[in-house]
Amino acid sequence: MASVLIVDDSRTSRKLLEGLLEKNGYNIAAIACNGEEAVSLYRQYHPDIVTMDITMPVLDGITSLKQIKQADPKAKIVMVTAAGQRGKMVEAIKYGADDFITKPFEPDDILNTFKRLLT
Amino acid sequence: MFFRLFGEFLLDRNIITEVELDELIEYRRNNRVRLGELALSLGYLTVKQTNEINLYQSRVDRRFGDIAIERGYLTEKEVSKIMDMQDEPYHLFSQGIKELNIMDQKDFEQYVSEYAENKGLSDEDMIHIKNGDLDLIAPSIIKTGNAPSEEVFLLLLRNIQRFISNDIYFAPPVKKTDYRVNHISFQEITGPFPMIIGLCCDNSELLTLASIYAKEDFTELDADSYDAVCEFINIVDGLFARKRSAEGIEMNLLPPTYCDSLMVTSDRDFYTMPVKINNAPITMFVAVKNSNIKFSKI
Repeated sequence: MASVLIVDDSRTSRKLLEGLLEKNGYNIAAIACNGEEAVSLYRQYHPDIVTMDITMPVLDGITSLKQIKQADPKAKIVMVTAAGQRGKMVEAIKYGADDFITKPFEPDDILNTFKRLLT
Repeated sequence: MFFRLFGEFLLDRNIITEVELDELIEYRRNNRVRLGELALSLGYLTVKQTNEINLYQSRVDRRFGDIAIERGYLTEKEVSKIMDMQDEPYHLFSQGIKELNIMDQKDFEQYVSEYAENKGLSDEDMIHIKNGDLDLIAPSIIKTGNAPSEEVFLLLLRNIQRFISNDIYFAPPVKKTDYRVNHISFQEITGPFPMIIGLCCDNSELLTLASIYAKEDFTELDADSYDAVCEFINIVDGLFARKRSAEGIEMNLLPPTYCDSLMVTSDRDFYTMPVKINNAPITMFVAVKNSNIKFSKI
């Protein structure tokens, strides 16, 4: 059962994602409200996959992505974006983002992305 | 949507009561338009034929359309057309007011004409309203003279309809230079079309949207329920930003936030647009941020 670290400053968004993933057999290793927590929790739990919101307070998603990838180049990180800004997506790819999912969440989109990255 | 738009019009004129409007909304949730009623209204069947089929149908487990075709009263094409019309809210409203003994068909049609005239709606506008097609209704109602704000208001309505409820009623946007807000969730977008987009309420009406969106039963406006409203606004603003991105225009979304008891002032107009969701009144707020807009705590 693959483990997931969910990172989002929106409680609603975290809960929606958590519910979907648990329903589909994923184990939620940990949940972070900002990028700083995400880096710390990644080091602690080494989840199989991370969902990372881009726009967050304290430490944004792209900086957090960069730090996690520096510590573990094999980390699998899916960036989550509402706005789909091309500039941020290019930057995220540059720092090693593995894929993107957009809000509002489409369950099939998320599950297929996870399946692809974990096989 | 037709139920609310037209129902509120009848309510404002004391043609129906609040109780009757609530009964109609409930009727809509639990009923579909009967094929016989539609066929009758289109002149495809006579009253005698409709009654004959209804009587026969009450004794056998067969569909109205199949019986009508078998007896040569309707063609397959006519049945298909009527079935497409079953989802049109106008016909369900018409059926509802008769079954609930609120008014007769003649009065209903007269009030529909008055509604169109009062709102300055064309025949084409009325077709869209009768069909409940928001994308086609909205341009005739959402007029601010500022295209990005009109687009945002429509996006908000469309996504309220998508994620929250189809039971919505809205009135045209209003220009303001000052506005007192009791509760607001809002987000700032930066870039070539800078805006502040928000949802406001006087009491706790935002709880309706928050609870449905987050699938939780919130009982007070607190950090968690506001978070749900903020996330909804974030989704809508994200859709606006993605469309701009596809056009090569990069917009940036700042984290949404919320506040109580604010006075909003500006040296230029901003817009508020009232909307009722499941009869809970909230206000949509759009400020184009090339103005000196200020949020002051009261």
